[in-house]
Amino acid sequence: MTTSVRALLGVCVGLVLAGAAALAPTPALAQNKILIGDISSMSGPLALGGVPGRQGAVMAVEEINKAGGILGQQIELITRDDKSQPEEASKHFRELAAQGAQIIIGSTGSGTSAAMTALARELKIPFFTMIGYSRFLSEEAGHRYFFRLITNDRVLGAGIAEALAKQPHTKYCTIGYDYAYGRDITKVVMARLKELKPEVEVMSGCEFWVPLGTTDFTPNLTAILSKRPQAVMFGGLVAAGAPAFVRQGTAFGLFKSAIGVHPSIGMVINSAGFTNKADIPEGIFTGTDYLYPPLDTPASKAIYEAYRKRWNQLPAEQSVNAHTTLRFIKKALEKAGKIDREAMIDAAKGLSIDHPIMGEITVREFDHQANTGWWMGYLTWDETHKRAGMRNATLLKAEPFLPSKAEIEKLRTKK
Amino acid sequence: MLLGLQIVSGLVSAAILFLLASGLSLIFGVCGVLQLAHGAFFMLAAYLAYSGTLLLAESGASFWLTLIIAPLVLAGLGALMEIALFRKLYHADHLVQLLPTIALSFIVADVIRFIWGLESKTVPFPSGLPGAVSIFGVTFPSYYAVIVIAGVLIGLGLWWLVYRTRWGTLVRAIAQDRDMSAALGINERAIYTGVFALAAWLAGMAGVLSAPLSGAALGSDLDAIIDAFVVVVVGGLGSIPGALLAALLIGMVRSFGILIVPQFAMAFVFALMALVLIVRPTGLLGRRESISR
Amino acid sequence: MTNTTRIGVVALIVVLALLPVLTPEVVIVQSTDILIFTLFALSLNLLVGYAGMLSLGHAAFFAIGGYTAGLLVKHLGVAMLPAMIAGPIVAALAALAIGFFCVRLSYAYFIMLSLAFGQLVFTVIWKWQSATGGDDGLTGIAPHAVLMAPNAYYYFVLVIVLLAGTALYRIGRSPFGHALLAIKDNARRAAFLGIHVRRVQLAAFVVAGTFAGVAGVLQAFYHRGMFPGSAHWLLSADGFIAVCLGGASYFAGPIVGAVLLKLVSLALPRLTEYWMFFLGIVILVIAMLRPAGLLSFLRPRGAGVRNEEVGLRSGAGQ
Repeated sequence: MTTSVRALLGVCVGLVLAGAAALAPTPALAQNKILIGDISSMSGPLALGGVPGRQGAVMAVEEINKAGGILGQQIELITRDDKSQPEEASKHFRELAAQGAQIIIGSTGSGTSAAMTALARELKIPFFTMIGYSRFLSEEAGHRYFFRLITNDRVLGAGIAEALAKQPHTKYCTIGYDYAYGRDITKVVMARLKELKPEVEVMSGCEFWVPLGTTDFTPNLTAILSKRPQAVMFGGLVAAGAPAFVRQGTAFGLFKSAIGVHPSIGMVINSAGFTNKADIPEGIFTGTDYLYPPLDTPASKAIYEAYRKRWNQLPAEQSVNAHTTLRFIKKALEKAGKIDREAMIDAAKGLSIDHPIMGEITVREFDHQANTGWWMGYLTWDETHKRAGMRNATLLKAEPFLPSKAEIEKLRTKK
Repeated sequence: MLLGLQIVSGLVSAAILFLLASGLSLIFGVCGVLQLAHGAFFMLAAYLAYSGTLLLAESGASFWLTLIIAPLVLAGLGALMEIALFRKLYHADHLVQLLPTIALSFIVADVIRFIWGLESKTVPFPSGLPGAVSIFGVTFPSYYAVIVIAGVLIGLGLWWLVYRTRWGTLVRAIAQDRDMSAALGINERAIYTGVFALAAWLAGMAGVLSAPLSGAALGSDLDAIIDAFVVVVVGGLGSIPGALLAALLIGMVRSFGILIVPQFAMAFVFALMALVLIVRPTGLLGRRESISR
Repeated sequence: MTNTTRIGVVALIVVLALLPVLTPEVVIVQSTDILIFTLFALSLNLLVGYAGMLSLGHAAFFAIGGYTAGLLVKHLGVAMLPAMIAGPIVAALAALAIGFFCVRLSYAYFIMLSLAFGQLVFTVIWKWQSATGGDDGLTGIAPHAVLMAPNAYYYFVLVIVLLAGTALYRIGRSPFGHALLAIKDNARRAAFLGIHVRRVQLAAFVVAGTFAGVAGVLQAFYHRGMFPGSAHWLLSADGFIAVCLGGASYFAGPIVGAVLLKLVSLALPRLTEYWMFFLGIVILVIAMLRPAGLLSFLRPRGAGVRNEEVGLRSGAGQ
């Protein structure tokens, strides 16, 4: 055997051993540690949210541990990369459960969260999703072990619709990515808008569904332009899609003749693609759960500064939401008075926590959905941070849009 | 108006698809390798366009300079890849040759993530262009015209290179019959390296030209490689005129298809490809048994 | 099989059977996943290694198997066992329909047409939300109560994968397997020998699709659900990587490759966010130094399972 072949053999054996070592359980947990699993999308298309989410969680754990932990016990956070795939998420969920994780959290989307919430129910482990906005998770699929401190697409869709109903526009075109969130948000906004204002219509042949990940919207844009709509709802385009659509639409002069509507382009992950002031036309109505420029309140400034100091990056909404979720877990465990899953769940029902951006939020007793709101306003350029921001922002309250206890029960028994 | 705009957008898609696919077709036709890292090269070029326009902002013609430089960088990478990797693999099984190209696309994607991070990037429209142009009463952004013109010019250049130069004659000779060419003393190595470089250059042009429209985003490599393959296969493997025809066809199908059945945009291209291959198993302009193995 | 190999195989089975006794549940959770993926890679190798055809639509049959079982359980309340049998049957029928068009094409055209059909299946799963749940996935597919525990399900998967693996091994050594190799070697000569090339290739496509369906069914009950990504061509590509890493011309190639690929992609993300880069490097190094796969370390060139056991070169085939 030549040296290179031998080296290769060595590398392979080494990798297999490393893999086997990875498989082996972590050495018996140190006494008096609370194991929390964090299954987040660290690679794949959702990594844009998963990475800042994990950083927020890590920062929260460091702060809690430094301040003495929870009930005198330190937290050990184990992070796993679900690669943005439900099957990977499901595998890691079982694995962390087998390792004795008390609670599992995840900066991961709706599809991966759906896979994990099913296991949470089976294995009786509390699960908190931190990027899954699909209403389905807390409604039809909801159960005792599922929690969500962020809002959901029912709230932000209906809220945006309510604001739009006050505007004069009636002729709409829609375009969105063809996937669960893209369809949900588009349909929720348009349906609610039609209820409130029956003269609103989606123009015929002007409802477009494009494959997830598309960034060239030229054929759709030219078709939209020829219909001469008054408003274009493109809320179903996320990640790189939203900035690309805005840029191409601006080139065609679309936003001069029609207002743009995107319930969440203000979110950092969506607006991250805007790197020039010229990229942002006036008159795009939008929303977010983390504002740029950051709110001028002590809580908002505190987490902004702490995060910049810890990671040398600007915080994203996922960072703040993960941070808040961990603080909530601490509060619930302390209220329960012992490290116990069922006791924690009982303590968490109806419990409130201060969200640095949203103010006080409360986890509802019957569906474990927090009444977290949503900021709405117009897209603008944030000169200080050199990225997209919002102006004229107002906080949308969630209560009027969340389903009642009776409605939740009806949704869950349907099937 | 509607028809005119859809034609323009179809032509823009077609121009990008043609640039992307012709390189892939060339490599397959001449070297017999399916270059799956072609999409990663396209994505890399879009990121280079982003950084290039930022770094060269002072010059006042940053985009145009980037359009010259970035594809050349890619061409260098293409040549390097041929010399370092594929030269050792021509005698290996066809399917085995795919493996290093898959590995390369993983590597390139993560290098991009390391350098540019996870966030997508937008690239401004090049300076010095009028905002919009009108042709036959159809008004559209002038940059779209740039893409179409670039596509036509590069297409003509490619035609000249392959059919009117000595190098092109050698390339075609090898594509026709490798053993015979070797027997005649043609220096295959230099030709192969050149073909890889040219193909990477074409991917680079496609990437930079599309950057002001679509920006640069992780994951675009997968879409690009699939698009390119569809065009190559529909047109006929190894056939550059076929790639042109298929690019036009697919560009137009996309552009007009969304008007007719917008809810099935996802499946258009695959349905079209399946249809073409069922009717014509070697693509529109492919030779029968074009690659005899 | 030589005696040494025989002893090795028996030892391996014993170790696998004792795994739940020897190791904690964490290992069992991952091992179940590796076993299922190994079966998928083995089924793909019937096409790649024996027939010389790369199907990038192979994941479609994996998904069709899993979704069929899942839909039967969830919407019609069918019991686990009949659903598990129905899955591979539907996968086989789909493979027959799709393969009918694909096997007429050569090399790259075959790859692309199989990819096109695979992506059409993916699109149907994605769009047909009322039945499949679209990209939210089809969740709530629980196995029989006896198999709920990880160890029980592991044994169940182990038995089925061993049975399916044995079947695939025998198919590879049967006259049918010989015919595939003859076609791969030289299709024209095989036709002269009286082999109906298309029909044999189509049969291979259907058999491979069926076993992919078996793997899909196992996955559905393991993950308590199916997700559209399981039909995506990227899963087919993963299977192909596994096949090539181990060596397509060895029966055990896909097994070695699948285990290596899974372990590496389990270990790397725990060390770095940039695991794709290092995975790429690993694949690249193996592909460059051992183009015939890792198993070519053990068996020198020309003595692979294929030639040695099938005996094509010595003219003893058929």
